[in-house]
Amino acid sequence: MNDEELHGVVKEECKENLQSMEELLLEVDKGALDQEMIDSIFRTIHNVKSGVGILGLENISEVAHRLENILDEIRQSEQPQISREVLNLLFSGVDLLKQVMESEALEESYFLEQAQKLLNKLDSYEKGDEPVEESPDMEEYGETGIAGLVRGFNREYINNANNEGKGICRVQVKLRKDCMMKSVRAYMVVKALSEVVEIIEISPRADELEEEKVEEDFYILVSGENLDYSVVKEKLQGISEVEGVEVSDIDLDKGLEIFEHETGPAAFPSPEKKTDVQNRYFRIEINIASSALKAGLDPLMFMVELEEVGKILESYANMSDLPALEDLDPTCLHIYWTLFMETRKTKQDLESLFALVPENSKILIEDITGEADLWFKDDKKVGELLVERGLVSPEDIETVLQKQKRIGEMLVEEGKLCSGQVEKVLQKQEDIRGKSDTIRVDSQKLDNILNNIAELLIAQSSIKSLVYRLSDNSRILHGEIENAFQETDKIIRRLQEDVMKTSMIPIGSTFLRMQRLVRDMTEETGKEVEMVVGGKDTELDKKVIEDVADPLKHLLRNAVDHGLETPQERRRKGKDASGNIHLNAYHREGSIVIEISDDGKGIDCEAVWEKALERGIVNSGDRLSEEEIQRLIFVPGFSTAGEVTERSGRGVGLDVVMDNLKKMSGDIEVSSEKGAGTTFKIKLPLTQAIIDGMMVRVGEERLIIPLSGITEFIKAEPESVRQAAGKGLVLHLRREYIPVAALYQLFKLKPEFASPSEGILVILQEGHKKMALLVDEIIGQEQVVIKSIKDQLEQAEGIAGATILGDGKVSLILDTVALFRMSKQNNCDYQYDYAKSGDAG
Amino acid sequence: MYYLGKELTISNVEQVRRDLLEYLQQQPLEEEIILDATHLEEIDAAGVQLLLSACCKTTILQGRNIRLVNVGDHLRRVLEISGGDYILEKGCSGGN
Repeated sequence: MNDEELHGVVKEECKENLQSMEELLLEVDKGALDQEMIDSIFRTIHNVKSGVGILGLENISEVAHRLENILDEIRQSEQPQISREVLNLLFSGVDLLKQVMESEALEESYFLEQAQKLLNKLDSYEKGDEPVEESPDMEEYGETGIAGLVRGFNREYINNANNEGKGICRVQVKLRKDCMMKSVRAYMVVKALSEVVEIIEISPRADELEEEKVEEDFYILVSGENLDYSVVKEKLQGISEVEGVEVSDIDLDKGLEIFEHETGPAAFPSPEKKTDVQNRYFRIEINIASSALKAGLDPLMFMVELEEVGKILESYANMSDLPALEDLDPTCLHIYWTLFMETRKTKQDLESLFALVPENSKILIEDITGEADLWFKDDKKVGELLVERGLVSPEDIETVLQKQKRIGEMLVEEGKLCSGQVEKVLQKQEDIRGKSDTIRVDSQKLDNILNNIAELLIAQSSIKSLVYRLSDNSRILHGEIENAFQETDKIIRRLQEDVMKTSMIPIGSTFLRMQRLVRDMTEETGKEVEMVVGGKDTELDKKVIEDVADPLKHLLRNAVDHGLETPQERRRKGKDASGNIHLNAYHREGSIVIEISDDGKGIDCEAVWEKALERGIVNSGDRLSEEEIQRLIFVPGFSTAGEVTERSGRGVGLDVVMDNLKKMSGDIEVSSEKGAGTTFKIKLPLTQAIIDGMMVRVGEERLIIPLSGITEFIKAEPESVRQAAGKGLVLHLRREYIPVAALYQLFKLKPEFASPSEGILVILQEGHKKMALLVDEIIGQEQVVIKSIKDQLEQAEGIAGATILGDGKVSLILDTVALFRMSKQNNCDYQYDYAKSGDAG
Repeated sequence: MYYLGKELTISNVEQVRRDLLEYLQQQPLEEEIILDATHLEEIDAAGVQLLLSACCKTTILQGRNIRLVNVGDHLRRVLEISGGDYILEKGCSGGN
């Protein structure tokens, strides 16, 4: 392997590790955290650090090293916690490292500035320049926090205070939008106020404030004798980053609601301090003399005692010498144990627990703290794992290795193990490893294979037409050739499917980026969002996944910025303060559907209509269904955003999304209920390379209609096609009335047959809508290779792409979804005059 | 179904073994044997060893299929810390 190849492999590994790390951090952000997770996060950054070292990026390596240190400290602490500050540092680190890994040149100097910034932040974190220590006022912060200054909501107390003639008022504090440490500012505000008034309650709750869940505004309910509003206001004036203070009377019947939260233990977090005692890891072998049971000793008591001083992580019973029931002397001990445990005790402490073991027992305690990584490493062989866990001896392994079978199987057969034990160990290994056997292939190679298959298809169809021409005279030969071609078609199709499957990847990693995006946005906007992601394992073409990321981002930004309300607004509407966004992916009818739904404001059809009128997108006389009005948001230049935000912007609206999706032969549906939320459904083809199509002819032109959109063909009787009042032609087909459109009119072609009853009607279906499309002739089914024409024909509506036919001519591939739209716009135009043409009808 | 008693310790483990063997002999070889631990409250290492011998060793060496059901929380934890928890999840089977 040369350097370049090595670097490629290392980069890939780093990327994978960074992705796992980001996934784990997002879990932590949601509140999940246990030792195992911290260890995994630590492992990932450790691996990345090694990788960066191999790549020779010194400064970047320093960043990875410092992040690793922080994580190491956390994982050694008694009660591991990752604070929001650390989490943000880690996220920034992941971002930087990801950028480095994504960069082609691996040139460190590009990233020096960013790295330095992050290192500075890490410096101040490590020096303990935590926000809380910024001001002398903060001394008590760690002890009692905001909660320590708050009395807690109690209606009776408020009423009594009111009856006693005390003043009660609401203080609204507005922090600057860019205020960095809102919780600290909030603390300073509350602390200052507590010097002149009594703080009854705060909204959001004290613990929420401390967790930085602060809007720009927060409210404080205060009481005091001879309450002077101007004194209250003055008290807060000197505090920096406080933008505004408003003190107002409060309606004791209705105004208290925002303060009426449960004051459970959560509101008063106990100030727990880190201790210096570290967790240690031990591997313990317990081999008690076989006579111990008879002597009245129960070896289980050792495990119970171990449990009392720590946590038994894994426990394995070695049953190599345990006989079956028939031969068992149950009063003798035939098993011994290997345990892995985590504890704060020392080796000596643990040894003292075994003071009572009888003679001929063997207790082995090994401190594996420093090498815990190695013990739970992922590249061990089954045999190694089994020996480590004490389930078999190395000799057992040797004996069975003589025979050539799978080691786990063999040990089970030998009665040394039972399959459950092997599975348990393998499960552990699988958990650590988290993936199965794979090889890395450059995606370019896969693309090349697919391209070659595509060329093969084209070449084959040209051979086909030549050979058919040659065999025109012999019916038998013609049939045989056709059979032979069918066989090769089948094989090429299988090959294509197999290669396509290898280039399909789960959409999970893209969804992960979206989760990150939403998380970052909640930080910026102050909105609370609960994001639920489903269908992560849904696989689709790598290229599609890459291309869909942008539209997805746009839609999610839109959902957070414009869809979801602020927590206050939501509370007012009786919704949960935190909004919900669901992101889901699934396969349906040969396509993939990605759904993004929120439970926010929903689309205000009236506002959309007004805006569309104002912009001249619609005319006041137009009659549009609700669905059509909602679709207007995708029209270029349309936007109903009340304010311009950095993220979603204005003007650059959802039309960009539509454009991008169209380029991918995809489409989007929107459904929304005012006040209840909006759902966007992105529909994409599984792959963009090859599709099954039906070739049709209109005049001299041959066009391809994707097979997935076609339900049937009919040759219509003249009487079944009628003129609908005020509309175009409709086809009466089995009690259904289906609008008729003529392909020659939609694309301004010269047809052979202008009458719907002379040509063939292709019945298209899209969702529950149907349409009959008039063509001259059906030529036949073809697998076609889509060649992108977006550069040349960007604005051509109704065209999904082009393909090269066997004879070298180019044929356009139609976009059925767009045909529906086009026919609706043109419907009134297509009125075939039967009387004039002389058809019966 | 074979019901384990309230206790499975060194004091009765030999008795239980004999009862169980007798019960096994009455059952056809291909029949799955179910040990019901509903009543089991007290267990020690001898008891755990008996269960492991029955549910694993006998299963493998004699082709018997023996399974433990209705395991209470206490018994479950004892089996977990004594490395016998795998007989809870999947039961044991030989040679695959």
